Amino acid sequence: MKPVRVLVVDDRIENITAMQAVLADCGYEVFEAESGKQALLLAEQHDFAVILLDVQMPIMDGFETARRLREMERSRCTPIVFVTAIHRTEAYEELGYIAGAVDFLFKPFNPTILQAKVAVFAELRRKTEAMRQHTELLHAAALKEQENAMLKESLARRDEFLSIASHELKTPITPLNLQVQSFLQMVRSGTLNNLPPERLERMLVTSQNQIDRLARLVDELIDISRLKSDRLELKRAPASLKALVQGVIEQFAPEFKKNGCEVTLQTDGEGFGVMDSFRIEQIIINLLLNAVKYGNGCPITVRLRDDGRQAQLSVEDGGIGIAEDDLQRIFQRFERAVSAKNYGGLGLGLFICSRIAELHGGRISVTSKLGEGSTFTLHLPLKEEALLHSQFI
Amino acid sequence: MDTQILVIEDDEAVRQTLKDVLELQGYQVTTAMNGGEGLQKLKEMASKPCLVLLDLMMPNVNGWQFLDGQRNDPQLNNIPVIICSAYTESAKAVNPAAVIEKPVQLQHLLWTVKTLSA
Repeated sequence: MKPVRVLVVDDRIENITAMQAVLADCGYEVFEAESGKQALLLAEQHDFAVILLDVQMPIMDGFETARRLREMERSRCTPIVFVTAIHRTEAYEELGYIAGAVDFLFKPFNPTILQAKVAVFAELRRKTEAMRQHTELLHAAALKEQENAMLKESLARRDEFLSIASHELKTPITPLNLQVQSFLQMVRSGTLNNLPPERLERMLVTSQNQIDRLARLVDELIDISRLKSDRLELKRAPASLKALVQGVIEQFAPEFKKNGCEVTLQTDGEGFGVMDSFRIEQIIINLLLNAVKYGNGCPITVRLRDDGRQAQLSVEDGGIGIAEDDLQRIFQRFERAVSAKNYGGLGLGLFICSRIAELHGGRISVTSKLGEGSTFTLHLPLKEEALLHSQFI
Repeated sequence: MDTQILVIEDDEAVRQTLKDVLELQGYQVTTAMNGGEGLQKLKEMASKPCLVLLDLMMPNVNGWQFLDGQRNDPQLNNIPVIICSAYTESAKAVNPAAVIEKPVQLQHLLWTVKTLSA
């Protein structure tokens, strides 16, 4: 434990020497100041258990010194004991207390009284210091515990992600495996010619789809690693958001039909701006396929609004919806509002999309009600802001 | 051969391929896209299938819930169930007739199906 420090302030050296002699035996570290100014300097540099302050000093007297000590951060709460030879009157003492004293000591002082008074403050100091150290330790322990919990949680989340990712990567391999092995079996047994051509074509199309699916999953994983290391770069060029949406709706028409989802597009403007078409298309595909995945076969409405500066593209479904508590979480990495037991996917789509939107200077917002569907909206700066933002990337 | 199999699998490509390869071997295959539809079809089938090929992780009614329903129905609980899943530990825990690990190997699938339907 640090030694207890006491500051003695007196313009007369013999008084300081006398006090030092009385206090030295008690094991305190005694500092001395011969003026108010010197006292203020020392009080700025050290923490004192108590300041013994002479009242009658030239230039800056004890009361003024006390007032200034009270104004300084470090000595704001340091106990001050006034040392005075003036005959004690209540009015005088009151002045002292107003200036910030906690006690008085009268000259000529009695060594026993001086030691006793300083001992009280020294003990108070030791206890305060011990309490502070104890609190610091507790705080550090709590912080450490919190860090450990966060570390454990992020490890658990990573493990869960690896398990989901391996499941997602394995799933397309089953149809590929079965089909290739079937074809091999048929070739070896000379029965391939018995397979009707339309069936052969369908099986090959399924295989092709599985290869595309694997490629998309790998792309998602690569995107995540690029985003993590800030290596995802946009290739911006003038493009029409309306044309991109129309293209995606056309491309995925069979997917919508298969799931019984009717997709309607309502446009108010072209949404013409500077953007990375490939990446914006990626957002549109993700939002639409999510609407199909969680949409329970309900109609999907896509709305495009464009006020010249910013475009808003919203995708509204009437599906399972998202609970209020989950609304922010779903934009984070590896997160989804529903259990992976029931819905596949890496849980990365919305995270990647909102980062891509942010790289464009935009964002993705969501409104939803559990059981009543969700609306995801891409807010995309089109011209000046998009260009302005691009300078910072 | 006139042997019926019920395939319950949410992933369309996996479901369709299982149907294709089993049909090529001469089995009759009925499919369902989740546990709820599977249970419904199983109850409605006039002649019950000789076995069920079941995925575990599916939306709406998953494989575990299907098993609860099937095992509590005296009309259905004697039909052997093959669990077809990437999670073999979870699959073994539900004590099925057999477990086929995903990604599925054709020979393993055909051998298991043949053995259990014999």
